[in-house]
Amino acid sequence: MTRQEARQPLWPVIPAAAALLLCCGLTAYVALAGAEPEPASLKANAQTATAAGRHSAAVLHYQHLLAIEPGNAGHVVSLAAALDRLKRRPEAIAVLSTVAPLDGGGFAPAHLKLAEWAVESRVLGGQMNGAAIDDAMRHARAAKADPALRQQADALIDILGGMRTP
Amino acid sequence: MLGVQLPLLWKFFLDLWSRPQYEFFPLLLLAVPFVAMACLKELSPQDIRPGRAWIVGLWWAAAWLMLALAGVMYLRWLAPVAAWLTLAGCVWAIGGRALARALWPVAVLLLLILPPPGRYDETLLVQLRQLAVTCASRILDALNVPLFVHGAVIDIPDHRLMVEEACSGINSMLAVLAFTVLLVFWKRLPATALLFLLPAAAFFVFWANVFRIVACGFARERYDIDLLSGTSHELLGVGLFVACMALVFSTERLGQHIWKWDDRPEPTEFGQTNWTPVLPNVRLFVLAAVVLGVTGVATAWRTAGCWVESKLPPRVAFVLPDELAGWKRVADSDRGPEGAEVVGRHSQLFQYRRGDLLATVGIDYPFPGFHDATVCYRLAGWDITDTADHAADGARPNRFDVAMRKKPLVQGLMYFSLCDESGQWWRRPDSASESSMIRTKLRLARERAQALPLVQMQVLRVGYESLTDAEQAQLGELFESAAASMATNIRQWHTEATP
Repeated sequence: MTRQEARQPLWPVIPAAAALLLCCGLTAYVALAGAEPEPASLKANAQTATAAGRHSAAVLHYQHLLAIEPGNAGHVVSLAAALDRLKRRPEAIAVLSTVAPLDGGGFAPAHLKLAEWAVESRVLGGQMNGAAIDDAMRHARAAKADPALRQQADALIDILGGMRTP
Repeated sequence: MLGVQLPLLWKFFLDLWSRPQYEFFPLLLLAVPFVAMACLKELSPQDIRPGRAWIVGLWWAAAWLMLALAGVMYLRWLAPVAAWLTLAGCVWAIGGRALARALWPVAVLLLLILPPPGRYDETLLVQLRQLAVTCASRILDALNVPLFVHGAVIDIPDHRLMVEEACSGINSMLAVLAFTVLLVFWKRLPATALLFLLPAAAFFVFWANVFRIVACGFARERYDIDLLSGTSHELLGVGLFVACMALVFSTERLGQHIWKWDDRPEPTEFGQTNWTPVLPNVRLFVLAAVVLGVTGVATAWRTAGCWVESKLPPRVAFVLPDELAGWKRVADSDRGPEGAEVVGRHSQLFQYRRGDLLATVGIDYPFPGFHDATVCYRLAGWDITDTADHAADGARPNRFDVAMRKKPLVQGLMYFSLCDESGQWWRRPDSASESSMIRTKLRLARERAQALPLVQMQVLRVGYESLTDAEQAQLGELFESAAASMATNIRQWHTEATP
């Protein structure tokens, strides 16, 4: 005997239909969204976040930028600056050191920033021994490789030289 | 016939229970008799004729072979296969093809709790988890949530979403799929209904998990609401599971509307007719029972000391000295940019500092066999750049060195090792010494079965620059000192726990 084809209510079907449509839509969106955001938009987001004081967000954007463009030393400097604004200076110094080796070469703005921070820490009452002053001097000299930074680098060298004088 | 297989079956079920994605199996086993009764209602007793003896013999011979192999080769996952074949033989003996055809849904349901060998289901779950992270990151991006994804981890401002915590949503995939199959069989829908319902169920579970990740990230970043821990975390997980099950029921209704699955003949009232199952070939049954019984006893005896549970006290606390090889213990909050990955049922972390170096010592356990820590780190977004194994040398333990990088700039150096609960250090299983892969896998299965549970210890140092040789040597000293201390603890507890 066949079952009576009773009139089935429609409402139990609605959640499944809606969920299937939503899931298909999300799948299409994710598939079309592309693998990675554009570096230009990430950079714009990072700058907007910095301007708005959301430095944690800026750190994430710069990390993402570096993951997409790993060779870009400018992003490293931006990341370090964002970390510094979050009062994570030791981590920022370690980040800058990856593109500012002590034996020379590297990225001049990174060298300049390291020298500036060394001077700043001394000015704010921090301890700096002879080796630390030497390291800061090397960074300042390495920064002179960029003609645009020579004047600032020379000023830092003068300040550091004065720190050496007993 | 099934009773003698129980000891090995029990060990199999204990292992299955330890896998979160299979925790539904007791409910499924409870549902099987009800599904069987529902299936029998479509069968008329007149259709039941005992099966041919040689076919029944084949079923039981296959069961015997599986049971024997399970004992000889220490493959406990063959125990449920043997039990399934034994039951299939009994069904065929009693009712032949007709009864077997009527009860095929029960056969399928019992097969659902059988994980594939080689843990390929876990590989699939890992890939699904990664896909869920990718999808969630796209949606969070669309919602203007700043984020950075590495591996199965999503960093949002000031917080980290550890997706392995939320991946219980993916773990419930198997449970929802199993209950979808149960629903189809319970409602006696055509088998073709599975072609619509199973993909739909998988779709719902996957996107429910993505929603969970997105909800946790959005709530945390926008409103500082923590949905990753505590009651809200549990409620969200349970709520999504219930929602998936409800959607499966709704999808079944949708399928009924579209394909009219419900137009089927009325079932016969099997229970209203007097019918008693009879075994026609008693001699074959007795022979099979004796052979299976002897094999089952031998298998149980051979595997009696295998796959033992951890004997460490339930809340054991490893105590490491405040000073180890020139390193000083520091507060746990004093962490570097990344933390150690620990995945054991129990774990402890200790931070040590020596000059500018900060290192984490992690202890987690128990592991049934060698656990390669690099797997966890890869899942967390690390790229392994170099590995080296150092064999034990006198009092020094085996040590496995791992150099790794994490985008964009972080570098890590990890030393790890494992020792069993008698305090004996383990070397990495040698997968290259056998002539064939099958022999290797069987040897590894035997070693894994006969081993005591293992405790893993790791020392991790994370930073932005590489370590010098001297600094690596210092890290090695920390590792050896911590390992010696841990092994001493373990031997002491093992001695106390062993009568």
